[in-house]
Amino acid sequence: VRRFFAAAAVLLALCGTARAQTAIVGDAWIEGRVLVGTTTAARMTVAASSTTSVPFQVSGVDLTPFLRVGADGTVGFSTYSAAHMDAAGSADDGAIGLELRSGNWYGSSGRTQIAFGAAGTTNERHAIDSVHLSSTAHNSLDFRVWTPDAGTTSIATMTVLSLVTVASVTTPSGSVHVRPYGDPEVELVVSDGGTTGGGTIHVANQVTPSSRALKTDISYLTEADRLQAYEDVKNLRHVSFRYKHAGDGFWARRRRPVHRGLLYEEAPASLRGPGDGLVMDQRLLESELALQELAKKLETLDKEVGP
Amino acid sequence: MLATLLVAFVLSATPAAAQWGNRNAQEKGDLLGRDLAISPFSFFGHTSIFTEYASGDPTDRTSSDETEMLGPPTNAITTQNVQTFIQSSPFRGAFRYLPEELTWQDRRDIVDTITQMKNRPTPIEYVLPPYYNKYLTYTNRDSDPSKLTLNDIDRMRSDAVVEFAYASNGFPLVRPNLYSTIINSPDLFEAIASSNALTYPTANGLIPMDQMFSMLPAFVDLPQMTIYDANNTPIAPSGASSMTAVSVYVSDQLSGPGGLELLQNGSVIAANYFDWAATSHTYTSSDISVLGSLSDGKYTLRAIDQASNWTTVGFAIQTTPTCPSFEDISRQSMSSVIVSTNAPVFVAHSDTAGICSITLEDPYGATIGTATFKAASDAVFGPYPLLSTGTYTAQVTDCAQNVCRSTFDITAGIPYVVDAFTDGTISTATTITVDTDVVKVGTMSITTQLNTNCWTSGGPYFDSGCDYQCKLLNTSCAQTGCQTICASATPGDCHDEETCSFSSVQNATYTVTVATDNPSDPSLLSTVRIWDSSGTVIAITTTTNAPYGGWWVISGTVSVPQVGQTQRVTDTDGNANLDSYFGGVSLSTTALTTAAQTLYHDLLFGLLGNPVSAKGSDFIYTSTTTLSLTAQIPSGLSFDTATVSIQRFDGTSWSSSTVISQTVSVTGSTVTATGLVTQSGEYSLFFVGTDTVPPVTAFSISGSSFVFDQTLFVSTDAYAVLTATDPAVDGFASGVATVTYALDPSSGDAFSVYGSSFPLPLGTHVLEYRAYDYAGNAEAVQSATFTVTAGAALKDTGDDQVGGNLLAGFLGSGAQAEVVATAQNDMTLAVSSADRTVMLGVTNVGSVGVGVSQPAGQLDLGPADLALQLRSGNTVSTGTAAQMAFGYDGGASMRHLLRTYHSTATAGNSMDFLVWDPDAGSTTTVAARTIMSLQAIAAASNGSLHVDPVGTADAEVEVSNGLTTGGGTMERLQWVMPSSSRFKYDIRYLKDKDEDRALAETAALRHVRFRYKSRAPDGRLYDDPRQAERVGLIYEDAPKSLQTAGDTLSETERLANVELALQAAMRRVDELEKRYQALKHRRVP
Repeated sequence: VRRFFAAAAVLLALCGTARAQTAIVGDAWIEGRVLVGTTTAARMTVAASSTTSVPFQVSGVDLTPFLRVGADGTVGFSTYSAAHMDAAGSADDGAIGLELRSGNWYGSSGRTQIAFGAAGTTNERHAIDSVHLSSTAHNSLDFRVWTPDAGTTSIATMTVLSLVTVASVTTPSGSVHVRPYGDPEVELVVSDGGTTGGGTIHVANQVTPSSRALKTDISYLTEADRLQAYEDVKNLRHVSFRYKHAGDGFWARRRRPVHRGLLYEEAPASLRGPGDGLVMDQRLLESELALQELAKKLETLDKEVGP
Repeated sequence: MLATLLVAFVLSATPAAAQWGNRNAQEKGDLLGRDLAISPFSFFGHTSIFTEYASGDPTDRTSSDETEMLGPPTNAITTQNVQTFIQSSPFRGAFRYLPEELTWQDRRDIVDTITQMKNRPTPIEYVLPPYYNKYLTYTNRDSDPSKLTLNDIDRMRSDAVVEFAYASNGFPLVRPNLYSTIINSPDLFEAIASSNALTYPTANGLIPMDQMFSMLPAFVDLPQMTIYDANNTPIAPSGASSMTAVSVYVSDQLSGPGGLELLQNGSVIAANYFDWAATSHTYTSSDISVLGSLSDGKYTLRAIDQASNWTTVGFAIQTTPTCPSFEDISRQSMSSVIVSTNAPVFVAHSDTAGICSITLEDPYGATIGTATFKAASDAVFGPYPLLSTGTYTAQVTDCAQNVCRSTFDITAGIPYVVDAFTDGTISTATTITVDTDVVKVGTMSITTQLNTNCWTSGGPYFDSGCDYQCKLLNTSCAQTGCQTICASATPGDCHDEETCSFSSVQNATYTVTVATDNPSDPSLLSTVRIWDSSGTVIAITTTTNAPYGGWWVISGTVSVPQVGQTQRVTDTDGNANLDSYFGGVSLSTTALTTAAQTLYHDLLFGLLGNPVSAKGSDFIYTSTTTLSLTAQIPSGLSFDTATVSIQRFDGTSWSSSTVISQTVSVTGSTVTATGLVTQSGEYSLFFVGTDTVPPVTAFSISGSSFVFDQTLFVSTDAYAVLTATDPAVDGFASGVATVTYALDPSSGDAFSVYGSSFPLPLGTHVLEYRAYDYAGNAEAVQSATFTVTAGAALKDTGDDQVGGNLLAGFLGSGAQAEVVATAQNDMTLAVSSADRTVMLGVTNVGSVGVGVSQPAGQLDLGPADLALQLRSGNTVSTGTAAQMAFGYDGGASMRHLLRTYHSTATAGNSMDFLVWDPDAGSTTTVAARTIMSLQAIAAASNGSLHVDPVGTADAEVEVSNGLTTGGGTMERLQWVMPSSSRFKYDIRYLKDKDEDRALAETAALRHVRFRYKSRAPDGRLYDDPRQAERVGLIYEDAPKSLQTAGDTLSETERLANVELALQAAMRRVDELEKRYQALKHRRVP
């Protein structure tokens, strides 16, 4: 209040029945309350009137609105408001429209940058958090969607998506992590909240950039390559297994689905990828090569056996 | 095949390029690398350099065939060392130098490749040149030849990096590999004698002589570039031009100009790539149109020659210096000024660009202060306090000496008005503090003295009809009550000395001004002296500025006697009276030599100021004569009789040893001491009390002030008053000698002697003060804090109710309650907590902060457990309320959206991201296309990222296409599954029977052609010819081993099944072969 009044000369227009005006050239120091159009409420209260479209405004020297409260309760920042809260901005000049400073330091939590409540309430709130660290890794924007586990009036606890920086020497420095768990090492990691990369993708089609125009150092694989692949596939040791899941007890583990596949440690080097993962495309390629070699063997055998 | 074609192309294009092209290629490559980062060795971490293949075909070369220059610590890797090494150990590889075949884009691709390798997340330690690939063991090669991986990184040489870059872009610099047909095969083994090293390439037409051994940048033929403005005046490198059009002259003697790029902020914004036949070319707007109309800003031009060398030059366009506007001159308080400028600054480009100085001038053109600097951003200068009213000028000078001047007014609320005269011509004045004792003289004269160069043999003169007048002004009275103490009354006379006299003691601060009415004679006065009536100079002023008419400003140091330094006036007739009564015994006020004596004497003298009675017998000394001295006790003092005595002065000191049987009595206001004197001499009544208690100073305000909210507020019309008293102890106080003070002192600042009340500047201040008594006791430093405000203030301790409008400012826009920004207040509106922390603030540039003192955005929310809460979530799936809209460029067009949907169940909660496209209807309509949805789902792990969503997701990532749930396409290079045993449990190895079953299941698969159905908004599925035809399996037809949740088939299980089936088939084929071989040998296994 002091700054407010020290900052400006105040013209108090006391409009009673006679509509008299009171002008103060100088500062005004009011120890009590300032009430405009009302006799109750806070230290300073402005009650909207039907005759004024703008109950409250902070203006620039040219009277452009810096902060404007419309008669309908909407708030505009340097603009007339077209929403409950509307901030002006500008394009292409680096200006920031909305700046939020409630990021969490990596390793801590509890602060939320934005919460989204339902139907004018604070119920079933989704949220956006940010996590910060002065080094490359672990900076993230986290999107949380509310589920009943959180409780109706609590903010969402389930993180559906995390846009996170990574510092792995073998991957780029950014990752989209779905239902995140653990640290991602590749550009897109689909987890399930308990196993890094343990999530499922539902997609009709997967494509790989394959045009010759996109590639260099092209050399066709040889018979030796096919033979090698044949031997590699032949020596694969398939296992059935379940994925470990964070927080799972013994019985929960029993309920995890059984998968079939390979163990990274036993797979040939040609199949190995980042994050102790096996490259599925290489598995398919090796199978194709092995099948070619197998077909060749059958053809040879067929010729030898004869009609 | 491709490699073959490339090599054939290369060889046929340069049949003459042979053995010795290698050196130049290496050098060229090095130059490319060096251009990227000064030295090729710096960014590859080169620790050694290889060169000189001694012998042998590449097929059997080993590292032992090479000469190695070891890096640190054996050798420092510098370009000089490298050059020396290469000259002594010629490289005899099989490179091919092909600059003429390379297009500009080829070169860019090669450089890009080098850059990419340099910038790899995994630092390159060793790079295998392509030709090595073919001759090293197969296991050293990466399985995927299309990319460079760690398996390819076998050894490192800077030239190898470049070889790789060339080869990767289709221009192998080495002999063709095994797949190639060699045409005009170079002699790989030819040894070049050192004596022929410099002549061989030229003789074979390979490279220019002056590029030989060019490991040092100085030997490189870099393109030369000169930038001209529209007047064909060169713009100095890193300089600035005020014209918007430029032309660029580029010359390159060897390969010729090959391109010019215009960059801004590190990005190419315009370019021309053409290999000019001539050795020079002037680029104009006809080559690069933007060169004809550049906007203000800084630019970089990069000229490239046809050998890929380049040169960069920076320059700036600054059409007009941007003068500081009114808003840039902000008054931080009512009497101080900050001057800033937003003029363009191009520090990075030029020593002649940017802001180099700001000068603030007073209303009369005098410089108040100048700041010289090289501003990297907007320059700020000030604040300057204590400015008087008037029009001031801020002058901004950029480093190219462009000058901008801007004026501003200070009109009200100035605490110091140094000029009470109304002619408006006096600018500033010098204050002179005159000691009280000196002022008693009662006259003062002001002498003007000519400058030396105005003297003539005839003595001082004024060379024109000049009139001088002096005035002595009491400024203690501040603006409204200033008095002219005295003034000479004879304007019109030509005098070199003027005297003004005053009759009463004026214990105050004075301003002396001298006036002339001859503005055309500005260079005469140089010194003003102030004399007392005895002719002693008590004040001298010096000046360096000649008068410009009107009242002359006297400036300089004035030296005046200070309190405590003055020779005190002594009584001149007291002795005679005493002598008449005491023959041989006298009471004296002889000059005293010590401080204590002075103190005693002062006291005695003060006592003697009243009637002193001396009683004795006939005034003749006898040992029995009783000497009695009586004095009046000054008002306000009470004497302790033990501290008063009769003492004798022996010529050196005073002592009571010669007085016996002393008694002291106090009767009313009279003190009487009696005793028997034992020697002749001078006797006095001495007060021998001691003062060990310091004085006490009180601070008060004379004028308008009040306490508000525990803060003392003082009007600028008021004065600070310090009142000191020395408390009497045992009836004695030595008295206050000096009161000193300092306003807003820093550590070590000297205190000023307090003479009289003084005005205070605007703002919040800390006044420190202390007093000393004559006994030397010093008061501990006291302090007072107060805030001086301009003008009168309304203090209202009650509530104010406004029935009309409330306007803070002078002109409003009509709001019911409105606060208008002013330049001098950083914050326009602040809602503060009880401890004055700003909770909601609006700055005077419109930034709004909640919980932050300095908002950095249009809306800036400070730290909180929950920074921003939005409540516009939808509760039905068809809801269209949006939580956030993202508009373009301050408008509400083409708005992207963030919508949320909420449900008390798991499903139905989502955050949807909508991106505007024309299908939304118009640019003013919010986005209608949902690109991504983060959903809570009942399946999977309760959460899903749903792309182009339709229907209900049932996996962590659901890639739909807006028609079919999960019907979208995902493009990626690699698909990796977490496979380590540490991720897994319940691991069981599959057996032959599992393989056999997989083979059977695979054999039984019934592949179909089909189209996906589309999903309508109501969830209904319908046939849709827009869907592409696909080949795959039907969930219901597939074996259970492949089936997963959501009626989907697992790709990973399909792949595992194929692998298992393959293994089963392999096993059967092996058995079949064995059986066949056995049959062939008529043996049945």
